Amino acid sequence: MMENLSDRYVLDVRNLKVHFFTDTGVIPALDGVDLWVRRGETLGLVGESGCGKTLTARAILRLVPEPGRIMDGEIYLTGENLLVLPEHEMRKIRGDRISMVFQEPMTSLNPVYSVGNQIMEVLTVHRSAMTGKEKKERVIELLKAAGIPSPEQRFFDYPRQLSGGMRQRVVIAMALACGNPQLLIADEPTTALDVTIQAQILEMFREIQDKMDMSILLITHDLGVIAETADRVAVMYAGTIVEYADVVKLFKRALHPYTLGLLKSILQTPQVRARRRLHTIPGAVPDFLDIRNKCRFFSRCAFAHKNICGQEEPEMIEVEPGHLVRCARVEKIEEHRRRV
Amino acid sequence: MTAQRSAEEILPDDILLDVKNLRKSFPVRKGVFARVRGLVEAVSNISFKVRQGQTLALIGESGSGKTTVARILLRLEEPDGGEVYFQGRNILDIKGRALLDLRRDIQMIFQDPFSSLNPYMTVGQIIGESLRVHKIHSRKEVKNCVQEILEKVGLTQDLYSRYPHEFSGGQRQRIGIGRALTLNPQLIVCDEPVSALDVSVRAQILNLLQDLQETLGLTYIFVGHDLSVIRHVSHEVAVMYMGKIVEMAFASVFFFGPLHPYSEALQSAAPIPDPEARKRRTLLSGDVPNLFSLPPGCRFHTRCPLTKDICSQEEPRLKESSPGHSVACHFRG
Repeated sequence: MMENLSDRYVLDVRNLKVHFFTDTGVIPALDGVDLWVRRGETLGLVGESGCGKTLTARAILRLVPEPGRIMDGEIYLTGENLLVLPEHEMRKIRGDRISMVFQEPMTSLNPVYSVGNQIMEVLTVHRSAMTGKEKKERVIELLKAAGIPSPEQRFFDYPRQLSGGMRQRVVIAMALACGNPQLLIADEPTTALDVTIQAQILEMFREIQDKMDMSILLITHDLGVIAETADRVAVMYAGTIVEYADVVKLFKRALHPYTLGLLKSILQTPQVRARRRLHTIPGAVPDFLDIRNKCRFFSRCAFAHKNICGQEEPEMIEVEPGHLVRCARVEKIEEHRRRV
Repeated sequence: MTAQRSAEEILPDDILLDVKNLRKSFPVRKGVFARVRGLVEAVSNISFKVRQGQTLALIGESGSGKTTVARILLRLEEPDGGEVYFQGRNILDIKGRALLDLRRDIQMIFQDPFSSLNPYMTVGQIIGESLRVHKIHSRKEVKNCVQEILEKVGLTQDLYSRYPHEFSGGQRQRIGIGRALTLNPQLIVCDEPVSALDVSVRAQILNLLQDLQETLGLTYIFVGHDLSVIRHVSHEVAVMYMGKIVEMAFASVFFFGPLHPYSEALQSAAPIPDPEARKRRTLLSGDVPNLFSLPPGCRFHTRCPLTKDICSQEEPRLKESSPGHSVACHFRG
């Protein structure tokens, strides 16, 4: 069965739990996260700051920051459980089979090395058989593929000499240095960029994916970016996935009240009259120490029922193939939708 | 020529702020002796007007000069030339006591709610500081006044003696807004006030700004690059590119059909939250050119899809194409 799964799923995360051991108590920052990424598809992971998106990415790479620890779960990369690998095996995977693009291109590049040298470092670690000359040629090829003009000169530039968009291209070139990563994790790759540059970078992701048949886990809080690039979407709230659907379905027929709230608070629908009042989700994200034995969205939810949602955490239910929702009031919501 | 004019002449009906031919360059220093090796023209001869009780959006990407304009209006930066009339008075030559009074009328809300609040001060001190600086109230009254403000921006009074680190991004931005409101300003310059916030919180803050505008009759200059936000808040828009205004229009007209190719590209680049509307967009090639070596002619011609010979030779002037809609392009308008 495992062989079958690894054919379909490049990444398969099951029941991932990461706890933070702080002075005030144990914080279940990731509390049973399940994710699947199929070959060649983009899974969008959406949620607000602090819901655990970036932590999920870091846990997949086994780079959870202190005082956090992976407590439970399995992470399969093409059928191989990463959580049981020894650290030296894991190091071979990072940057090679899984590569990562971070949000802030200024802080994820080293200011004292030229960009060419930094990309070469990846090859030195993972492709030690290559000669210096080969590596340099490869780096120039990568810079060119990432859309950087005159790569032979840019090779010697330092990060500060490049604009934000160019830096992000360098980071992408670095992520692709080893050839063909099975999984690219992109954590808010365009958030720090201007819109016209964002459009260029997103277009580039699409091209790379088409060419390389690569899977992408795209982390963002921007539903516009999701709509443009993702095939399927996982919506995250307070350390767990609350809804999981095909992108078209999610925008058309979202069921979880949190997803509905997110979709309603986005601004840009061309038909919408300017300067109307915006929909907001009441309240704020709950304290992680106070989410046991009830639905995490309970205190902010318009559909909540005290005796159902306030008593136990709802299970993930499959409302139709490929569309999963963690909500006990799905029928009520469907009914509400029919009436509106 | 302006000195003899009366306020009424300069200020037809409801114009609160009138900016004329504003210019600002920054010297670029290089080498061991930090000699001036050139000038970067951050703001290049721009003019605009803001009506009382309305919102003007200054749109542009990084390096377009929009924040420099904002800082000049607050007298945080001295321009090289131009005039800024606020309620009919040129605010660029006032000094001392009068300048302090002016600061009561023009306030600012900053982009980053994490770095714009002093971590060593309590919320009460942050919001009350300006009242103390301007010696408006006695100590006791300051506390009452701050608590009123807290309520106005949707925070509870018991947060008075908390510190900024105890708050979320949205709450911090509310504190920042509260601080701007204490002195009953006329004009608030909002420098990307929601770009650091999550979508759901963004909506709350935009609603708050809009409510405050309606109840207090505030005028906003809203600096930003996110067109979905701008569409929501603005009455009029001015698009800036490399220190120039390239298009100016009423928001309704602008979002219905922008004229300048750069405005078009901006609109086309903004992702649309509808997966069925995925489109091939007009992508701009390249990056914003280096401000240090401005391209000759039209500053946009290096990235423009419409560019022809004339664009690299002659700089287009901002001209009115229809009432209230101006554009600086050889081929549009």
